[in-house]
Amino acid sequence: MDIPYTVHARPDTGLYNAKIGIWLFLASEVMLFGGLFSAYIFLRVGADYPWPVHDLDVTLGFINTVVLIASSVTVVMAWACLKLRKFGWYRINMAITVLCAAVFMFNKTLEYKAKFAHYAVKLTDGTLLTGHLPHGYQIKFGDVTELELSVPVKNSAVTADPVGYVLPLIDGEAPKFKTEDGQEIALDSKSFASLAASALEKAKAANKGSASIKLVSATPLKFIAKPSEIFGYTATTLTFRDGTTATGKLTDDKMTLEVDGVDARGVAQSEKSLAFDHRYLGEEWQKAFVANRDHHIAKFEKDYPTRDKARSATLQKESLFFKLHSATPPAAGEAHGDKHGAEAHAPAEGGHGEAHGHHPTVVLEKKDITFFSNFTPKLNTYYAIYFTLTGLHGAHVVIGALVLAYFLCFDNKRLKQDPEHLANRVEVGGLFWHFVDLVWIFLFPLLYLL
Amino acid sequence: MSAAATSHDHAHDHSHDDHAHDHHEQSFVWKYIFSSDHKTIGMQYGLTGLIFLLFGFFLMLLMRWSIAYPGVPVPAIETIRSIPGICDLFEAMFGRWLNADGSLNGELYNMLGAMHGTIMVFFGIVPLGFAAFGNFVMPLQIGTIDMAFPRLNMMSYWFFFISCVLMMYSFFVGTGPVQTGWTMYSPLATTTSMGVTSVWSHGHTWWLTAMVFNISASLLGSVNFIATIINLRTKGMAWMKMPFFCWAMFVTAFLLLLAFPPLEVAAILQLSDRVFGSSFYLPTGLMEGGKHLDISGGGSPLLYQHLFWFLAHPEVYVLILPAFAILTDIIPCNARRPLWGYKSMVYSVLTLGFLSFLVWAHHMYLTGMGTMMSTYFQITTVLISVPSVILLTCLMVSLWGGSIRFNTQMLFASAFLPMFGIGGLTGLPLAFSFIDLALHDTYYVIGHFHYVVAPGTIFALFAGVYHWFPKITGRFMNDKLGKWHFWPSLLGMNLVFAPMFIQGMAGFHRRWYDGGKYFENTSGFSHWSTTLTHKIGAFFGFDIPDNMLSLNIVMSVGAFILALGQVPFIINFWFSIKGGKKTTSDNPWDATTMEWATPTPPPHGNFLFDPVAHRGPYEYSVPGHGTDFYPQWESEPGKPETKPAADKVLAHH
Repeated sequence: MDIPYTVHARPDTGLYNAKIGIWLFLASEVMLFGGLFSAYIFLRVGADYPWPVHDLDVTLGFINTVVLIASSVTVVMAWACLKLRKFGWYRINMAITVLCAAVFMFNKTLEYKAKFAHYAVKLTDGTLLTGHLPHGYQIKFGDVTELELSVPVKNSAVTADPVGYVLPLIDGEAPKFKTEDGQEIALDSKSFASLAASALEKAKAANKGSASIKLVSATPLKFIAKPSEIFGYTATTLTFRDGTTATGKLTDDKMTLEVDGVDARGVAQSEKSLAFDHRYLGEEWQKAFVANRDHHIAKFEKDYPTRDKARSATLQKESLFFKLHSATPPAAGEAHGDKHGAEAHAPAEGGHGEAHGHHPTVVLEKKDITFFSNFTPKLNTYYAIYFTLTGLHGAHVVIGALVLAYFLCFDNKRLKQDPEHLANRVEVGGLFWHFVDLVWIFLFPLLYLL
Repeated sequence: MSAAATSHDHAHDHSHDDHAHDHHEQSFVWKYIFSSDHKTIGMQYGLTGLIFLLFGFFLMLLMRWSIAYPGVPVPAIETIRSIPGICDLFEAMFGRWLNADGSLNGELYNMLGAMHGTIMVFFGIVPLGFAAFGNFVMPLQIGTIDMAFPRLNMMSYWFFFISCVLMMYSFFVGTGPVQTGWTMYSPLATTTSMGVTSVWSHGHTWWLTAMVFNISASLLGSVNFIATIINLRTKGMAWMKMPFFCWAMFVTAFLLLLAFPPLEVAAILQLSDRVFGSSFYLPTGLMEGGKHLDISGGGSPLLYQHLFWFLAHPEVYVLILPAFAILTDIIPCNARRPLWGYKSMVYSVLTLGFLSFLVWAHHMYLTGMGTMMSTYFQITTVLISVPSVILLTCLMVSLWGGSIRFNTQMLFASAFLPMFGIGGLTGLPLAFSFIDLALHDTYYVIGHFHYVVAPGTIFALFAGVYHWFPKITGRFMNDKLGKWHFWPSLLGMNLVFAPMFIQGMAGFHRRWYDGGKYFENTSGFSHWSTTLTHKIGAFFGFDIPDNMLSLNIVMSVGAFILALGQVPFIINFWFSIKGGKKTTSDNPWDATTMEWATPTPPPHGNFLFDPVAHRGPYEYSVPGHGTDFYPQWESEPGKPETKPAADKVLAHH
């Protein structure tokens, strides 16, 4: 038995089933992206930090726009050629469409990759330093001889997991540990289970809420961890997410950053930003920053005498977000403003394929850093919505291209025997493709231009 | 093309493979498990939904125990813990969170509360009301052979199934299931148990993942429903000859189609906050446990509420419209009267669907979003009561002058009318922000909502089960057991939910796991209802205190009665499949809509003839007609259409 109207339209509605289906699906997609666009507006209107403007590469975005619009044209051509039974041209147009999708995604990958390698560090006064972390950022904690594991008596979401979680953070081989009873053990899941069991028994007998296990290391340990991997630390203790505490000495929590930008929009008096502290960029960069700032303000006053300076996001960005293009301040010939040891020198060689040029390097102290992230959703709500929107859109591009590629490569039987049906399929796929294109046409100005 | 067809395709070279074939013996797996037949999928949805309703109800019983007897060990806990097999499961899901003496604590109560809401709404009622009844009945009523996209239909169920598995899995992970209520408000839902070593040991991450699958399943289902109704109506089935059932399903499908994507957005953004550390819903400077969180801030908790309620208000109508759909078949059929005001009902349901997108922020009066916003949403909220009242009134007037058959489904249907009325009327005060500010998050709201959905929708769903059971199995469900199911359910429902209004107006908060024991200023005074409870208790020799806490005991007794009332149903349901009284005709209730023109049970492909809709769907007691019903498919009185279908079997061989 046949489901009616799979190929030919029903006379009174004028539609075949799949066409209704795709339009309904697109209505739902409109609500999906509508929700995200609304979220964008909500976040931007309510943002309590300077909303990033003109942060993205417009050229790349423009190329992608052209590529996607071209693919929308070719997909219609493919459909029309199929209707006219010009199979060769159908194949060519379809192949171009899929190729365009590949170019689009390639450009997207370039954009994403650069962002993942680029960092922003927020200082305590609100200054944002952007740049690269040539060595990454890790907390180094040494001289640990004692570990205290905490096992709750009552069932709990957080419980000690030394084997799966703590041991991998040790720098080098895990040594043998001595328990409180003087036994020497290699910490593995079996030995930990028996330790935990006996500790729990003791805690229950003493009517305590949680059992603790003390382990003494035979040789001093060193931990190296990303800040996100641990729960917190002081000068003498390191706390892990599973409640384990290590006692030892903090050896290094400084961050080495190759600075390529100083964003002082969040600072009340921009020239007094902590970035220009003598330990960091110093006076010479401060002078360059002030010169750049005043230059842009003067230019704005000249070009737009009637406009309110405080309300121009573009001016705020141009005057207060200072880009550093060389290792030394542009006022050439003068001595480095670093009498107090913060060497402004060329970045570490190697490791980064992209040409950063030469940037000054600063060694930031942990007490001056409130937050840092690479350019990922974590950085701020703009990048969060940017990645969500473009990521979801990219997923749609990939799925759409796969469907179209399927029609091109694996539907030859239908092409020969029932081209009308295949034309319907291409039409439905093409409608989806147009939608994907349309979403990008909204995304491009919203994220790149506004 | 069905999956069943796929397996046979190698034998036949078809020009198009978008057809389902019914002329081969199908193996059990393809016929009952990976089936693309709308009836099988309907039953799969139905059984899954019934199981989840029972499970959600069980969660509620545990909660009710804690409310009535805080700090007292759960009864028979030792017995449960000693049954082999069950004990491990119980321990992993609930037992590990209990206090040492076997009583509930706030943590477990919160988990039960959140999961009760989630499971009942997304895994119980929507699958049963919309997906099960809609899938089974709607294509039959419009006289077609299957849904427009049978394979998508199958995919819909299996997405739903995956989401069920993921949701149940969240009971077993490190933190247990979510604890933040079914609404999952951020920032609480984003930051709880940040200390866990992996995001995948948060029950919440699993909740969100499960919801993404659930939403995708709804999406596929709703596209299918709408496309089927638009394009596959049989000859003569004009829009205004279509049973109201299909109209209600049509509107429900649109609500799901357009309201769920914003929830998907809400879920995606919350998932991003948890997994990628973004701050969509997290304001600047958020602290937890005296420590600044490692986040950028700059987001807004209100954004979550807007996105969430943009779905969740239409969702309420997704819960209630299938109930109206079922009743418009059962009430005319058993009152032997045409449905009163069919056209006004159709227009009302369309208006209702439209307005339901404009009322969402009446859930947010307390967030301080501004008086202008509140005023706007008050107006739309009051407006939406008009179409709802038209629907209810039409059903009531349809009873007028009927000779009513009080079989089980009609008992449930007629109980629905006052129960839904109570639920609806108690909602009116909540529409006004000045009253809502006082009643927000109290038991009054719980009472209002549950009167709409529990003795409202769930009664209608029961009625539907009794009504269509003979079509599905060829056997009746037992009427006596049905009555043993109905009366305790009616009593239990009212005992559970009516006292909530009194407690709510007294200020009882909905999230007190101890039922208000430690809030003496609220719970310490008496009321005629508590005095009555006290006296009745004393008569039977129980010492029930004469204060608001006594109502907790009333409600928990009500819940227990309700639980007992489901036992006859479960027995009836399973035993009637093989042991019920056999039907003697394909149309045992003398109904007029087209699902009764099919053989019993309907085969793959449904009809043995090409059905044509000759008249409207509710031609009961037509003056001058020989019988008191005049089915849609009869071309002239008493003469069933017998022209065989343009032979489906050999169509393309």
